Amino acid sequence: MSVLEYKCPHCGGALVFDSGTQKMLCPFCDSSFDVEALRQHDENLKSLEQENINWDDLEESDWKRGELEDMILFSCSSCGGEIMGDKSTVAKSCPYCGNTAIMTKQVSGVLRPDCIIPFKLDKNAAKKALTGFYNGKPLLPGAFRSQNSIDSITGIYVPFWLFDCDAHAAIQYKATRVHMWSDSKYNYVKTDHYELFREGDISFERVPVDGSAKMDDSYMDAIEPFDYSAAVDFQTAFLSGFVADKYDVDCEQSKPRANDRIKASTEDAFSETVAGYSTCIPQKASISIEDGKIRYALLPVWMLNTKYNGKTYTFAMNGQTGRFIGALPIHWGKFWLYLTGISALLSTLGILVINLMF
Amino acid sequence: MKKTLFFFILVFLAGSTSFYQAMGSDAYEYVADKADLLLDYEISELNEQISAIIQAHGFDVAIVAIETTDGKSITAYTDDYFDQYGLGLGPDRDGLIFLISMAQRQWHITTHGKCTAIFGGSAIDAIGSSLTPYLSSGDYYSAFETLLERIDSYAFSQPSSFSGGYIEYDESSEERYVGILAVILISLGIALFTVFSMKRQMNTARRQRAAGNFVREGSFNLTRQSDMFVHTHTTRTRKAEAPPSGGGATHTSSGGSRFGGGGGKF
Repeated sequence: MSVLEYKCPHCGGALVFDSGTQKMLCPFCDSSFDVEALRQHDENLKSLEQENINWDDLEESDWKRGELEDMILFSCSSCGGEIMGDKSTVAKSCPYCGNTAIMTKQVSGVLRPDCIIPFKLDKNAAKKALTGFYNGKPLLPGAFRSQNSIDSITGIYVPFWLFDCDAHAAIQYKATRVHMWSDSKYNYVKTDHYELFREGDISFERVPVDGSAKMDDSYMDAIEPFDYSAAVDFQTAFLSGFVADKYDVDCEQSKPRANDRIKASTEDAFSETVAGYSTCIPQKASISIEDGKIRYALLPVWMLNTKYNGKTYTFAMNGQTGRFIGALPIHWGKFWLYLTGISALLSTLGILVINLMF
Repeated sequence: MKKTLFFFILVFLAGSTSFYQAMGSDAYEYVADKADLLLDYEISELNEQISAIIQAHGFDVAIVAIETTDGKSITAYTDDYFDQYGLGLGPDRDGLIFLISMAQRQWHITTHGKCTAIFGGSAIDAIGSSLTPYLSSGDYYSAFETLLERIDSYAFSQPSSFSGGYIEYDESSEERYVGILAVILISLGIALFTVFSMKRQMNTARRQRAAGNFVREGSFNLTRQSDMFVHTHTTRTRKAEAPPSGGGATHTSSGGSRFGGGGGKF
């Protein structure tokens, strides 16, 4: 390619070679560039045009003899929720809607999980965690702690699709460095504009996307992460005493969410390599996903429902790590009291200090 | 809870007002009639009125009548008198002195502390023009009574006379106002941040945007990077002109105190 074909990265005008400075000059905006920097810039632009997303098909593992027969499917005739358990499981009510009209069916048409992380924490640990969750919450209504009662507590193996991949990214940023100074008459602001380019690789292991439409994504995201080193091959024996949710979002439908999370983390990792600038804004990013593998896992979650003033509050606990999350009601009177109280106290102290100063 | 809120409000009000309450002084004679212009009962009447003003507004007031300023300018004489007799109340020595010199037939008002803001140039001029007819005709008692009435009404018309806030001319008054405003805003900001942090704790179920927990350790590898300078841009803005200094609204006495005020002839 002839050097004369380069375009100005600033204004887009055609650059001309200046033999005096041995640089490429833009006759429109007076910018000048090294020929080598422009050659690299051109290559960068080409890298930004390549983007591929390649997930391998899910490797299905076959059910072992007798496994499906050992399991039983409970279908809620009210909300349509489906859970699986071993044959000894008795489902009296739907863990999602509480309805007692449960139909029992034979399990069929489901994939065999690749792995399972067994429950490490029991029901009592979940109850204790719920009480602990109330502590350090100044806005909690006083009566909530005493008056609400645990409506249901269920240990559920939640179906997750786990995504492994290598990501290749090329990202272009516009960045500035700002210097300010002044003389006796004027204030000056000098803004240097830069074009940054980063290209590289990053790998992800077992990014989880929950395969249950009934499970709130924000709850399932918030109890992450699980310690995958404790994952074992699936056996129906692990279901004893618990239930497993039957996935109703398949791995194809889960891919966009996995892609979004992987791309966001890739962008974060690359942004951290940009330092020493006043501002830095990504302009264009091409992120390819290669060698993508998908696995199907059952991960342990305690779901707790409590009732207060006729309303149901849902909490979830990571059945392996004990991470506890949920949403509590807010006492708005306390909210305003703290707001005005803290403002008044700090203002008073501040005004007293100012009065002493002047 | 209501009790706690009441307590907060009480502390708030106390902090912003009590500091500037008058610290009354009983020992001082507010009227010093060295030129023998007034009768004794007139002096005690005026003393009572001044005492009431001090109680009501929290600043010192004195009326001084002298034969001559002994060659000093009337401004310097009045300022020195204020310093010499330790006039003024509170840490800022808030106070006002009216001095009349019979030899020069001149009067002067010197102000200090918050009185400099309450009695700005226009206030002094207005007070002066209402006194001059009485002074010229020799009705000194009426002149001083009018003076005290005007002082009282000016102080009442200043909403900030209790909080010690300054209104005009004095640079430090502006700084104080900005300071108080900043303190209130910062306090509100901290309070908002705190309560919204509390509110945030109430719902911990949050969707994850990224997958930072699942990056394979040591897998991040940057293969190519470039930082290319593209162009530069410099802007120049003219500095704001410094405001004119005081314009004679305040001055400093030989004792180093900063006074305001003004005067005239009769």
